[in-house]
Amino acid sequence: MSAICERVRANLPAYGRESLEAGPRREVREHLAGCSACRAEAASIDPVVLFGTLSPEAVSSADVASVVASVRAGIALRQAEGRIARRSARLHRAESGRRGIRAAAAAAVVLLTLVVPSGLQPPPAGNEKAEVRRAPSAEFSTVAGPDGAARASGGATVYDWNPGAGEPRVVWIVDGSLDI
Amino acid sequence: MELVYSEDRRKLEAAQATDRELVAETRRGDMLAFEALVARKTPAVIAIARRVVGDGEDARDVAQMVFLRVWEQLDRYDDAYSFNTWLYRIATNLAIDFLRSARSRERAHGATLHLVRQREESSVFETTRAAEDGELARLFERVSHRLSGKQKAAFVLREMQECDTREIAEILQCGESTVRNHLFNARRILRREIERLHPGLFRRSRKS
Repeated sequence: MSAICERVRANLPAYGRESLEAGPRREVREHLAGCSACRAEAASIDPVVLFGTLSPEAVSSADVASVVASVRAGIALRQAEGRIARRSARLHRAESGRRGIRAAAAAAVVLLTLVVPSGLQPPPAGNEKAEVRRAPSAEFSTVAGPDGAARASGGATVYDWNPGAGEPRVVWIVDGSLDI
Repeated sequence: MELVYSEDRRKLEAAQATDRELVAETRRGDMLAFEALVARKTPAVIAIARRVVGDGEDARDVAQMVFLRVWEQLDRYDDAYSFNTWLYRIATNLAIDFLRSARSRERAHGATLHLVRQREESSVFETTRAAEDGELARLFERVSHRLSGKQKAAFVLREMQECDTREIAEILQCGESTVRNHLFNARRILRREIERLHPGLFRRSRKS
């Protein structure tokens, strides 16, 4: 038995306890890889030590090429997914903008529908009843007549349109002294 | 013709560049540099993944995931540190994740797989050639099944990649004392499993 065999065998227990320095540790590993007698000795003391002599499995150039090709394809796929995601985000933003414009336009139409006809067509004199589309609300009950239009002070007429069910209520006052 | 020559020359330059230079080139958008990095590091990544997940085909799948993750997260790599440490961290994390999901799939398979494995275990090691490399590798796969992902990764990095405990702590993102615990427990479990599955095997090998 050579001197190195003796040294390696003496160091085997310390190797298994993780208490060897890097140099002697490397020596044990390298020696065990090539010395069958010391391998048998190591196996009888601590078989786990032998796992350290396992050389990394050979990876063929075909394996490497296959991994490189798969990674390349994976990156291309991720980039394509990124482009699609960015494009659909842009489309979503544009669609949101269009929806906003449509909603604003609809609101404007509703407002005009509610306000403009009554504003442009004041009730004919002496026939205020025709202009009141709903019964006046409680706020005007003290001045309202039975026909639904309220006579406010100073000759003004209060018109109250209250469609109910969450719809906005519209109140307008027509001053009888104004020529509109 | 000029383009082909230019690409070959760039491949040659990439092959001679250091890891850090390749990382820097990749960050500037050079795919050839990244492919050179992948080609250079694939054997080590497959070797780690192979020992942790226990199967060559799975190890190649893990390697692909590792390099895709590297490409996605390259901006997060701090080049004040070793590229290998960062790469091995990604590799061990993904291999451990893969191992966990494989184990949960196995649990779903249930008793059938267990019986198949028991039959395989009882039919091996009828000779004293167990210390030979191929047998030893198969033995490791069989007995390391009982290790947790972290124990297995720590043991593989220590014994098969020759990392020291400080490097393993950086890779596994834990303290050195935790690494020593993982190594101690891994050795204890491996010894117990060898004795349980193949009682007296290595004592026989000494006599022969």
